[in-house]
Amino acid sequence: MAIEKKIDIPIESSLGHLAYGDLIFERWRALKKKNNKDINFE
Amino acid sequence: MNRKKLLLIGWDAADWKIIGSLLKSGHMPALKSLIDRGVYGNMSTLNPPYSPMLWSTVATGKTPDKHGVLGFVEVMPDMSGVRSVTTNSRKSRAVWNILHNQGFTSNVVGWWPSYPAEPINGVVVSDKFQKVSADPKKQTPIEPSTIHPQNMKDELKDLRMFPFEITKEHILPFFPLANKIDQEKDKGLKSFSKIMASNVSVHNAVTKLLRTTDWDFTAVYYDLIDHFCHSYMKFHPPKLDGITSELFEIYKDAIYGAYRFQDMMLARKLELIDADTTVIVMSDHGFESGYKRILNMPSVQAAPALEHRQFGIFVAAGPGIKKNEKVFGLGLVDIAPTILHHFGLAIGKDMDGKVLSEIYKDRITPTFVDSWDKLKGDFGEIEKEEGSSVLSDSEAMQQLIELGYIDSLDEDKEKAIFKTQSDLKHNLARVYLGQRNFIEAKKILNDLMNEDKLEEKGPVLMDLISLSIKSNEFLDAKRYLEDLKKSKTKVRYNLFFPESDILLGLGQPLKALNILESQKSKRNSGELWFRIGRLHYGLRNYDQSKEAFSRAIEIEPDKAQYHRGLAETLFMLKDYESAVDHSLTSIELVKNFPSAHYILGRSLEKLGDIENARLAFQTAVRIKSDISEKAKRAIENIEDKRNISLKLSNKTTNKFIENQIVIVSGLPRSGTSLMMQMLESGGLDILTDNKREADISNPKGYYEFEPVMSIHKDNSWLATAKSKTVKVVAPLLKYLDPKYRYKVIFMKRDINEVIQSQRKMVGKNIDTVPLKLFNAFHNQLESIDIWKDTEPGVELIYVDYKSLVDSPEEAIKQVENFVGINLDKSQMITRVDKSLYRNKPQQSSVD
Repeated sequence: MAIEKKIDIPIESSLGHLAYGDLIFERWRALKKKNNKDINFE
Repeated sequence: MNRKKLLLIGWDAADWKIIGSLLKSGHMPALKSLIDRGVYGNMSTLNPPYSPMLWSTVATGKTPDKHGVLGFVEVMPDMSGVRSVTTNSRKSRAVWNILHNQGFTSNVVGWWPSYPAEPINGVVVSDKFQKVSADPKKQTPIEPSTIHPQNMKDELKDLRMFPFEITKEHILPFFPLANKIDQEKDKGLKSFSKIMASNVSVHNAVTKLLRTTDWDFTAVYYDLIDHFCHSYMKFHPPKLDGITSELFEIYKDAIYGAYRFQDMMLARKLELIDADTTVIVMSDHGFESGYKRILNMPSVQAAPALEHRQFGIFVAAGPGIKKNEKVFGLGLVDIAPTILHHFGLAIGKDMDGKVLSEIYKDRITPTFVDSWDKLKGDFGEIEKEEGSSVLSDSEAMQQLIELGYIDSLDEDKEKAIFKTQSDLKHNLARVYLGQRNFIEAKKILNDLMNEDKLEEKGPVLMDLISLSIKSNEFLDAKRYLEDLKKSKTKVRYNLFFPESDILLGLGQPLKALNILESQKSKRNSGELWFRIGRLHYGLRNYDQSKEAFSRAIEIEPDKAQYHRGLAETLFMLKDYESAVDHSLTSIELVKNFPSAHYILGRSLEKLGDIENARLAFQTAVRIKSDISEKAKRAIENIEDKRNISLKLSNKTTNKFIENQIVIVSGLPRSGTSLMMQMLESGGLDILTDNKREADISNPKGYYEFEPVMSIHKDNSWLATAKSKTVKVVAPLLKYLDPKYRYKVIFMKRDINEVIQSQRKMVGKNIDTVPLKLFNAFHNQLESIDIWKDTEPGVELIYVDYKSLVDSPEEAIKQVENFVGINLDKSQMITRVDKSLYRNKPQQSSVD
């Protein structure tokens, strides 16, 4: 993936959804699916 | 009913060295909350520190030779190939099998190994679940047996994260300069994506199960920290010389990031459990983060494990567990017994661990069963495979290859199978070596050496060298070392440590020291300075050993044995207060360190603090080790000192001790045989086999006992010497077992006379005295004088040979008092034959 510039993002804010586990992951996945229709998640 | 739930969380490779600074800066609040309401300590690993072995030990309470998981890979039962290790390799029941049998419900997520999933009460999400393809175009279906029960597959399948789902927002917190990474050449981000996705999958599964299932026990395993360490620890501050500034700047925050993310995941799990659920967070080993980091891994199997540190972490909190207290002496084998005890179940007597009683506020009383493995019944186990080709684990294998744990497999299946079998055998030998079971280890290593098909024998030879040194077979070690140098091994070994060990073992401490000294300018290593310190200590160069141990401590201040070494040196330098300080530091670092307690006791005794000295000795006795017997004797001496007036410098109590062993010693040709004859005539029971017959040099016999000559290898025969008298020449005294009480009658004779007598015996010119020999004998006598003072089980008197011959009555009285037994003095006198004193002092030249 392309990353253009230096960005400081605190771990707590940027990874909070992953650390939260299944509940938010499923919602995040749903959003992701909308934007990545080519990806086959089985 | 109030259920006693327990959540076990495995963080592979988590290390206090990194956690310590993150706790201080407030970046691991979840772990901190557990420590505040629980206990914490070092978790001691096993050798070799290979994770599937170690996590199987955690699950079973048994060492790898018993549970059977011996490496990262296994040969398929039908011999059709090699695959990453599975539940099939485990020969012993895990705690979740036992809990199943006893009616408890467990969730097991990501455990290594746990595929195929076992059919227990509860849910098993095996370690195959999170291993997916990095290629979006490749399907990665969940295979049968990945999850138990099968109907959970639908609920869990969408919780797997794929590496290609990782976004910039996930990457940038770890690597703010990720824009500078040339992703064509540098695969750093690719590794990151795989590790993150895999651990998020595990986390999603466990959070789902914690939320939605009814459970007693949940175990979850994350490899996040370990895999981050293998990929990025080389970039962690302080910057290593071999790392470019650019790469350092890009990757330097990765390790802290991994720990912080791991802590965030912990926080979420703590939200999902009841307040009275017991929680254990632990790792299987630590990870080098200082100067011992390796930039160029040698090409040996499981090379990355060379960076694993001996101590991992342990934190536990819950009802009945102490609060904010450090606990000591924890081992991986202790986890399964502690879990069983938590659920009120019996501990298998065949388990190698114990219940961690120290973590509990109240005294506990574990119960026992002979063996859970031998009980019949439903333990929720898989049927072990007879043969299978359905397993396709290319993703798991690929991950192991990328991490460097295994080489790319040989396309030739037979070769791959042979290599795997050899590696597993070698690992088993290393397990035995770690247990000091040298006989079994040697058998396997010799088999491997005799295997013509095994191309790389360097690692086997290195273990044979190490084994031979540990079992005091120094000539064998030397031979193996020469074989290694001649071999065509592709691995570059640093041989100066084994070389110096061998030289020391062969009685050449100065040469051993020279080898180590030659490395001083080349490497700044605590271990090197420590070894130099030990050699100087052995040579009684206490000022130099003080300096060397101090240097070792400067480099690595948290090594308990370095402080112990310095404490021993300071004791010899009579700086008892500083010796106490360093013994205490040593104990602070490793509480169950018997020799540190012992030197603490000796130093306190010298300072007159008898009560605390006794406590220190008692602790040294309690922790089973080589030193416990010495400590027992030291306590007895303290008791004696309280009961009778005695100057310690005497080293005699002049009282009979039950089962005492009377030893007659001295330099060869100093009158030891004469003393043996006298004691026999006096009525003492003599231990001799009369194998060495009388001759002109000793016309009345030598009074020797053959096993004495090999006492350095086997001193078990001393049990038969109780209440008897035996002759042991001076250099062998140090091999006496500290288990027993000894009365040593040490024959002293002018060294010139001793040498003349010896030279006469072998037909050499007696007019010259070799200077080297003179010095060697002088040193030996000096070391005996120190030895007697350092051995609490030893009392020793010197009997002068000339005085014995000239006025035997006085010497006999001294001996009678010393052994505390009435002797037939008149018979003893008849044995003194003045004709034996024929090598009287003559004017000699010293050459």
